[in-house]
Amino acid sequence: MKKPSRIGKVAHDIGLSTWFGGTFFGQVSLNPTVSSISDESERGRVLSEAWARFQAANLPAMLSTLLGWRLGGVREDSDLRAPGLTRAKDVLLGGAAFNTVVSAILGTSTAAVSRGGATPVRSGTRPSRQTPPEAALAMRLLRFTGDGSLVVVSALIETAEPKPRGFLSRLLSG
Amino acid sequence: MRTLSTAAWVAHNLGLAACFGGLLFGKAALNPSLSAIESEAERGKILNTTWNRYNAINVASFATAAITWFPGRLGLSGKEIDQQTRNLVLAKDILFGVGALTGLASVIQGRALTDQAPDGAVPIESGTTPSSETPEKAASLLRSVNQLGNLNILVTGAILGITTVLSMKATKSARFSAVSRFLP
Repeated sequence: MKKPSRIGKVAHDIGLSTWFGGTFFGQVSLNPTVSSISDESERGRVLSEAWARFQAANLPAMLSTLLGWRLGGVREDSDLRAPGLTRAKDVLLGGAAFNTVVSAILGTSTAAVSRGGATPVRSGTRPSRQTPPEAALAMRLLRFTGDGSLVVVSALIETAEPKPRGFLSRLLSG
Repeated sequence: MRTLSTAAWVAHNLGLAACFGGLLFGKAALNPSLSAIESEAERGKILNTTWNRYNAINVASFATAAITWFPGRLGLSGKEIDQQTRNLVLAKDILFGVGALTGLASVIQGRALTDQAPDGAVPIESGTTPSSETPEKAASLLRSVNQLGNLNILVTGAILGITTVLSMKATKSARFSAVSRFLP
């Protein structure tokens, strides 16, 4: 049996924390606050720049979470202690990665509608009357995938340290 | 008791993750992006509003991580763990203390920066750099908030790393594994 490597486990945990905490900050703090900017196009620029900068750190963080889990021996170790939770975490990791990649694509396509990412918006999740229709559609989908990412990544943290006799472990192991 | 310990562990990890990732987003993504706003005063307003909004979550998250750590940790006599583990536990205690102090100082300095102008609209170059229009006191507050923020990221990252190593040690030592059921 492959033992979990210390570097793999730390990379997994730090990556997961960056993924969750950063998404949380963006969703609950930045997205609603941009509506205070008087120019709607500047709101779009700030959003696209900030989220693009975060994705530059978040995508490697996501990758280190996934690699730590699959190749760092973290999954094998968890599987021995709580197989039900481990399978649940496999599904959650796949769902979270998919949601994050789709969110990044939707965010990029919203920004690409206008020069320099200056797409006019009402807030980080709501289009305004000036928002072009294709960007408005991307933003509506983004609201769904963004919230989804947050929920799924927080559930991932809940399965991060499976204890054999823990409530979730017992529930999922049957 | 075990279910309670699992819940504490989850709360502990969520609290640390919210602190670490949130600070990283603010420093690496929000702060430099504010220069996209033309009005320097509006940059300050967005900076202060966004950070103050997150600071409430950050304080609650850090407090949750600390509250779930110390009660279980106080139950450790020290005999059930080896010297290396004992050092890691002590390092985590100290880092929690440093993190609480720097976090609190950062919140206080952030509030003082907000109070320098109505709605926090202090003119700035970006989230880390004052502009030629920034009053001297506000510039000094902006610099200290940034230094404290950098320290906070390092401290929270170190706590996360130690937490991971301790959780790995818990699975190797039978005695520590038994005790760790009561630790987050």
